Amino acid sequence: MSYRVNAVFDTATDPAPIRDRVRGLTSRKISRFLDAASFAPFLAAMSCYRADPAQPPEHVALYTVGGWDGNMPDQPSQSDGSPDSDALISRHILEEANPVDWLRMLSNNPLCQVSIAEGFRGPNAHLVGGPDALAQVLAVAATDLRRGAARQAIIVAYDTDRADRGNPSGRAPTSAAALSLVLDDGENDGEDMVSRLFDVAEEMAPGADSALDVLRACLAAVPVASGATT
Amino acid sequence: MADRVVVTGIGAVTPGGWSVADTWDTVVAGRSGVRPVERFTTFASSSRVAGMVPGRETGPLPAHSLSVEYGEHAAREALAMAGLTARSDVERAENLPAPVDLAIVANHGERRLPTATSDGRVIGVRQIAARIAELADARTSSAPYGACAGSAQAIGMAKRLIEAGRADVVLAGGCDALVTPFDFFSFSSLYVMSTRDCPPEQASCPFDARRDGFVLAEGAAFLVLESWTHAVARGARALARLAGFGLRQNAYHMFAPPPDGLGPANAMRDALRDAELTVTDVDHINAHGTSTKDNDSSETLAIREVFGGHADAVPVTSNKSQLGHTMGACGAIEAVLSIQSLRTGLMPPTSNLDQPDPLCDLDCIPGQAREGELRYVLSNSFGFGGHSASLVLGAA
Repeated sequence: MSYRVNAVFDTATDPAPIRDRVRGLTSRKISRFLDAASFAPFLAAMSCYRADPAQPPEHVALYTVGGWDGNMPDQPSQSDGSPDSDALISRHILEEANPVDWLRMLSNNPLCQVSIAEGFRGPNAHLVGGPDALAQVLAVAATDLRRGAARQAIIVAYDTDRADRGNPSGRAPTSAAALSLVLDDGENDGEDMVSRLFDVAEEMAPGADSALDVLRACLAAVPVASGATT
Repeated sequence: MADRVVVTGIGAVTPGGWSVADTWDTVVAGRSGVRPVERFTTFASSSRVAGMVPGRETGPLPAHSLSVEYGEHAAREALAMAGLTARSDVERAENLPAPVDLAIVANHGERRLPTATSDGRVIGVRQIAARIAELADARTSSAPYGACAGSAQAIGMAKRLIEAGRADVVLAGGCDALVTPFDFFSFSSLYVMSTRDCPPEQASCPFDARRDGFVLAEGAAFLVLESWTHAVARGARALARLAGFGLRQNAYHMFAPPPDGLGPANAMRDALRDAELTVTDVDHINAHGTSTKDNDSSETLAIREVFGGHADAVPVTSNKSQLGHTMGACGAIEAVLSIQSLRTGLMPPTSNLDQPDPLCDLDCIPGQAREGELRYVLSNSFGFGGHSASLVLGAA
């Protein structure tokens, strides 16, 4: 058995504004949960799968990894430290703020929304992490495929500019890349691409700034079996 | 064939106490760690109670991170039990191997309200994971952000990485301290927390007809997981075996559980398949059991779907009935308590189960803890974002 990379996607290669692309691809029910932090990983996962829908979505695993770690949405006032001042903001959060703003802040939001949109029902997780984390999700995804827990795995890395990493979701525009991994049944045994991905990921991680940088290096190093590069 | 994965250390800080033993005594006795919130002002339209770690339930919120405080304490207990110690400076200089390959630390960061001089962030997700990794002298760290399934994801990922030969020893678990105004009232604004007018200790009542939401709580738990071969080679004692892990996405809603129970059912099936077991091998289920209307009925449906006729023969408990819902830590806390069940042959009760809901018609251990010969325990954790995770833990 060997692993193939069947499709890749990188928002850096797409000249269209990401927000417009996403809004053109999904319903208002989904897009209202998306903002600057989540447009890119959402688009990367969806585009990668649509470029190579090798397996039904219920058998697709999705792993996302990113350095963005969003803070709470901007509040209408600041606390002066007194109980009354805290209570004023608390009451705003409880009774006036839009809960969707809070849900957008959750780092697993892109994974959740694209799973609902595409029907991905396989194993899934989001890691908040740096360059090392990419090799971890590659290993877990490869194990899922080998054990039959999934038939196809989409791996997405995304990040924002270093200065925006702690910003609320609305002020943290991200870039993203993705790859689609499948397991050959043995009839077309070729070079095992997971081994090559690990080699690149482990070589690049110590000097990289983000998991996204490492994934981009991986994408440059592996051939795409179906030629589905978007 | 992949090496099997064993647990050689456990640690916990919960509303039941500052150790595994204190937490275990609390849940087995059916005592509650839920208290009125005194840290900040609550409102008539919000929840007013929370599961609080003893000694941290009174006074205003401290400036330091409670997540880190709880996490470091629980990690220390787990590492000590496993007999793992950080390298000395000399050993580091000599480049001796780190005692832990990786720390996987589920958490959601920690925030206070913004002031003129602060954006409110106490510490970020990655920084919390890095602090725990530093304590464990781990080579690296990562942080699953999987809401209430996060630390079950962490434990399951550790299993996968050990099986793949990419790690020998992993410290995995979670820590969360979200009883803060921002998180408390954000959850409240979604109407997912209990606002029932009752004594605090009765507010969390999983599988009961009166349940109306979860009780937010704080805590941490960690497991030291390692390959059987590695544990034997260094003379470590296995407390339990992590036999199976299943992880699925509901693809249904950001925070509502699927009414058909499909994601949770698939996670349980995958965990059993991973463990190469059938439903009759499972003697006890440690349920997610949040005390929300939707979760408990959906989980019951999923258990019935997977276990079929055997469902009535498997006692089910919810530790959240005593501890409340510790969010990113709950999967690890409940895994620790499942291991304690395997070690002692005791199944903790589901407290406050006085009016069983006909939609939750499993044997949910009302009243008192129950004895049994336990071979395998299934532990469920489901989270915001549609994550459904199940662990199968076996006797050592």
